[in-house]
Amino acid sequence: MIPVFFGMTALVFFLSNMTPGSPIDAMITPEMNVEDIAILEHKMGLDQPIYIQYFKWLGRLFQGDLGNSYRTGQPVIRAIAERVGPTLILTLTVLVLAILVGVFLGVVAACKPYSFWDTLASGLSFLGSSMPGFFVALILIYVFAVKLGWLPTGGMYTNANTHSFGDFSKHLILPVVSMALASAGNYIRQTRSAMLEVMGEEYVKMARAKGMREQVVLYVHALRNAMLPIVTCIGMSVPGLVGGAVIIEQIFGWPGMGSLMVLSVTYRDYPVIMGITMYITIAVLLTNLAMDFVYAVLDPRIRN
Amino acid sequence: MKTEKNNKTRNVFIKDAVGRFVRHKVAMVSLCILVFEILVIVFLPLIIKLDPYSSYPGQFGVAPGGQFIFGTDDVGRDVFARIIYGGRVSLSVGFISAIISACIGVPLGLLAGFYRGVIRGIIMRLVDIFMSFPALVIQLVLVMVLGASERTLTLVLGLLGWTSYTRLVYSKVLSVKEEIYVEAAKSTGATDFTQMVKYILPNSLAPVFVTFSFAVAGNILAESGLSFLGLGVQLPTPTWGNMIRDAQTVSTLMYRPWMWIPAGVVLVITVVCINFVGDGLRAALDPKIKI
Repeated sequence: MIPVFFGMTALVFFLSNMTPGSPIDAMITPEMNVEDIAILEHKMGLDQPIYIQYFKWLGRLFQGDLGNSYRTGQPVIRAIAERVGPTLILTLTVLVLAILVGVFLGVVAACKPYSFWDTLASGLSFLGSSMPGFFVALILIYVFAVKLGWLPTGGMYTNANTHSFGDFSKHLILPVVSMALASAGNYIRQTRSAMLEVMGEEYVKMARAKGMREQVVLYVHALRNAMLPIVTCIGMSVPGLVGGAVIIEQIFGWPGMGSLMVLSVTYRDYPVIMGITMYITIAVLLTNLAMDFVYAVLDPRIRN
Repeated sequence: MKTEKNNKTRNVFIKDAVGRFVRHKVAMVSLCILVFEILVIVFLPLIIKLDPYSSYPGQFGVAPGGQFIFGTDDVGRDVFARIIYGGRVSLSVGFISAIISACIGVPLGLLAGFYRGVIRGIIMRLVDIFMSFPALVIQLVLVMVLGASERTLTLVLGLLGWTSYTRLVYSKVLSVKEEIYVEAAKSTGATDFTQMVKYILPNSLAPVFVTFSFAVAGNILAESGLSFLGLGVQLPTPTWGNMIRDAQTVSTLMYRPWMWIPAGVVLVITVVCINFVGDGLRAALDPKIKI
């Protein structure tokens, strides 16, 4: 875990410093002479070798200082803190919704293979994972926001006076649905194949032979054992989810990390890019940790 | 004699696989659609005159019908011509980057599976690192560093997409390595290289074809996503992704759907078809492969 963290941050740090053009280009005014520019470079530590800059960045990181945004001059920590909440709400809602829908439809599909419901669920899964999220999002905006006028086109609240939960949820629906479709599609497929594998096992036959209700057999006996590969798949899909949020936030004007990332890349705002990279790395690593924990809960053998 | 027999069994396998693929109706239909689409994209511009770049004066945002089947965009360019030419870009980025990934991923998987030990440790650790990080974020940074263009995008997608090949080839090699013919090759004094390239690789290729098709689809999606953000292929070169980008203007989104819906629909159809073909390949070659 720790090597991943250092590897990732170092990679992005070196890469973003390899960019042609210096971040101070935007701050240079016609009145400045060469010395002023040199002073500015020195002040921002840009005259030192890159690896020293990286270690300094790490050093400051442990003091909770991520530097200031080149674009706004605001501390990166504050810029990110403002954006963490909306992104977390968005991605977690998507994750929960996609898991519920995906696992349920996957089980439904697996309990009667090649039936109508299976075809429907598998078709949905294929379409879901083949549709680019941004196109789904635009279609949803076109249909539900523009043509029908049921839901807002973007943003998090209608205006500053409407900070109510109802207004917020209305704004949340379209981004969540357009992101959840791909994830749910993926989970349906994984759940279906994991369940099909488990359904042939002796203990499932045993449970049925005992005369247990089919629901209990499916959701208690079979699903618990099928959960391991499903959890693996969910864990592995989290990075993709975070990436997907970047595009979706951009489309819906959702004030989260993703739209900040796009903005920062456009302006080459390295401190912010580094801050976001670090945040995402930590989030992904914590997810991996959580997955290990879930494994242990699901399969007691792993605990030892 | 020996090679003849070998060829014979291989032919039987291929014949069986083709049979299984042909029986997979959805995959066959998808393959037909794809072949048709590729033929149109490659040859149509040679047959009729299509101009995706120049603006037709006074023909801004013309609705579909008449001279332009899919209408024109905001600056008066033929949307149909742009979809065809955009397809050339999108498909070539998708295919070439998937080939690059295969060239990196397959040898690494082969090495990791064959030698195990430290080599496996390093390679599989790298796979873990690459897989546990959102590709889009690295892509964004790389594109920013190298400058957005078709070539950069192909390279970036290719360089980042090798992990799934490595993982699958690795697990396949582990089992193939234990086969008797590898043992036989070893006992006749075949070098490690010969064992790997001549005996293990050809028998570990099934997952590569399956991964390849999914990788093409995934890379086309990634390309369109980045181009949609304005960080992929740059205008005026059309791709399906940057055509859909027009819909970020509210008035285009609302009143001129012909500018972005056809490009999106073609994109979705393409990706769905490629994925179905991949699924058919999996069913035909080795139903046990899990992507």
